[in-house]
Amino acid sequence: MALDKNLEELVAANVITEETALRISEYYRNKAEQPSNRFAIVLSILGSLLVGLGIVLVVAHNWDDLSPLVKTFFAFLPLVLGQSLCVFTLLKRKDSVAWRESSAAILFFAIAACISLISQIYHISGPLSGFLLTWILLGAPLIYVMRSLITGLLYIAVLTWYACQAGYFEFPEQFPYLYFPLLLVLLPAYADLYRNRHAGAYFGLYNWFIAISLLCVLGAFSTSGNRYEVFFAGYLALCCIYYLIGTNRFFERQPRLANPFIILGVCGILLILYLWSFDFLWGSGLMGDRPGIRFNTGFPYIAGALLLVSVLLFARQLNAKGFNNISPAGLSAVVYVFCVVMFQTVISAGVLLINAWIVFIALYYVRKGSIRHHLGILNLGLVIIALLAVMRFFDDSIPFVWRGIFFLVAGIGFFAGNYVVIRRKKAMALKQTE
Amino acid sequence: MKHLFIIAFIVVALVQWFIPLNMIRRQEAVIEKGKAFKFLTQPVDPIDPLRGRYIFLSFKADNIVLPGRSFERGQQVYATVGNGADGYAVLTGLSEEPPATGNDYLKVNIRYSTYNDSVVYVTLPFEEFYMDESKAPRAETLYRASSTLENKTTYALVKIYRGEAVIRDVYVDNKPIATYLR
Repeated sequence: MALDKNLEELVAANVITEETALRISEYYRNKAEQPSNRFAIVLSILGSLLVGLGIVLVVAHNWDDLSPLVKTFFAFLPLVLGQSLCVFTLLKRKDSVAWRESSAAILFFAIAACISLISQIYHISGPLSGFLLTWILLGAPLIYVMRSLITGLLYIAVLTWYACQAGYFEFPEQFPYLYFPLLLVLLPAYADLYRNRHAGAYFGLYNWFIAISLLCVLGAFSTSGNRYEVFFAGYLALCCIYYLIGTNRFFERQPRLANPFIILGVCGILLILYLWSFDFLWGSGLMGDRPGIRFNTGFPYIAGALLLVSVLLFARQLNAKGFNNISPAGLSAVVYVFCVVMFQTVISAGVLLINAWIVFIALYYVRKGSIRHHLGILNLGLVIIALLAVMRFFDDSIPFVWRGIFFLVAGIGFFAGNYVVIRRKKAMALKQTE
Repeated sequence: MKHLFIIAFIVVALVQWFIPLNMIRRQEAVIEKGKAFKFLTQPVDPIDPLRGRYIFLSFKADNIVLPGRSFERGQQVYATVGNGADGYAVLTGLSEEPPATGNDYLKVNIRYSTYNDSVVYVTLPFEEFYMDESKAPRAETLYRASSTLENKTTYALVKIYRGEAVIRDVYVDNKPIATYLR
């Protein structure tokens, strides 16, 4: 507060310009968020989350013995407390991250407590998704008014809950299309983190929350009667997009833990490809006796759009990195769709191509690891092959001899690959010391 | 800048008050102006992670015989309500638009129709009766025992007014369920 007054005085006296004053103010604000304060911020956020959840749980008890008037008073009490804390923060502690985050988080939960207690008093029926939607709509402005990033994370969590509740668990089945525009509400906050604070912990947390949220919600746009080929195509395309985002120049420079896209992308792509490397899912596909794709639901269009985005991202990365430096994993959705469409009647050919594609991805990592002398990447490739070998171990349609040879090659690959890379590393280290 | 945040917060806070107060206003209007109906019930007790424990009520009057009419699953329609010969509520008609006369109708969703479309089942908008978390499981046990062994009547008293409904209480053997549990 004193700093702001001094700066105003200096600007008024024409000692510094308004822009310089803003930069000085920004500098001290950021300085206040340095490590010494971080522990206090984390503790206050945890405390407010616990208090908020506590209020919701106490309210959920349903106090039968209280009169409706008393219950209504208690419904608004947490709201008044939360709002008072926020007003105090805005007036007296607007530069304190701990105050902003804690008061906003408490108010966010107080909103839930208030509307849930009123629902109890009047026995208001209705789907839980409607309740969650009201909650997030009333809580969303706090992200910007209170400049509270933790409220943004809570918002993503409740939004995901809403979409899953509406899409998976409620009757009549409804697609939570509101999820997408409501997710866009976070765009300004995320853009600010991306531009100005991508080195901080919040950026990583937002990436994780958004990535997991999309994975959870995507299936809510599918219906139980739809073709699962389309379902897998949508998820595989989303994982490819994650992978391609995670491997772009900006995210590659981020710490591994702040980059969920690469972790979730690789895991998702491999999981789906491994599943389709067996023949049991191929039984009733596009040309089978099951009905055609249901285009009256949103999922085929969403899957198509995701596939298109994954192809565009792949083309962009190919242009930027060149053919030798781009992982084929990002193209897995296209390969999968090609296999499912083309080899529906020749299942063994489709299965073989999926297996070959997994080996191709693995070999790319083995090659990349050995060129860069990077044991992590090399072993990722070898682990992919080893897991494929383990899965084929259970595949009784392949003769024992072939399975045995596959295992031997995978095992020798582990030894030889690691041995060669370690030797090269040692040789390089020796050269450097000379 | 500081004032902008304060003004924005005041607007947000007012909206945060308006929504719950509006919920109260709508329910109070139904209680004040609505007509009371008795709906025969069959309760079980599930749990809502936020709103607590409630008795889920399934009603005997959740269907109507309408030969030749077809509705979409999940479609929102208006159901007029009347009293049957036994004094308990029954649905007397379904329409896509709110009835032009009378206030005793509900906004309901079509659950399903029977094979020949003659019986249409709907979801009534008052299936949840919130109770103290210690009482709700006992309420269910009591209901099951009383309905199977003693054959006691259970019903919900519901106020209905122009599409909206507020459940006032659930009665077992003509006593409010909370009193009955004591």
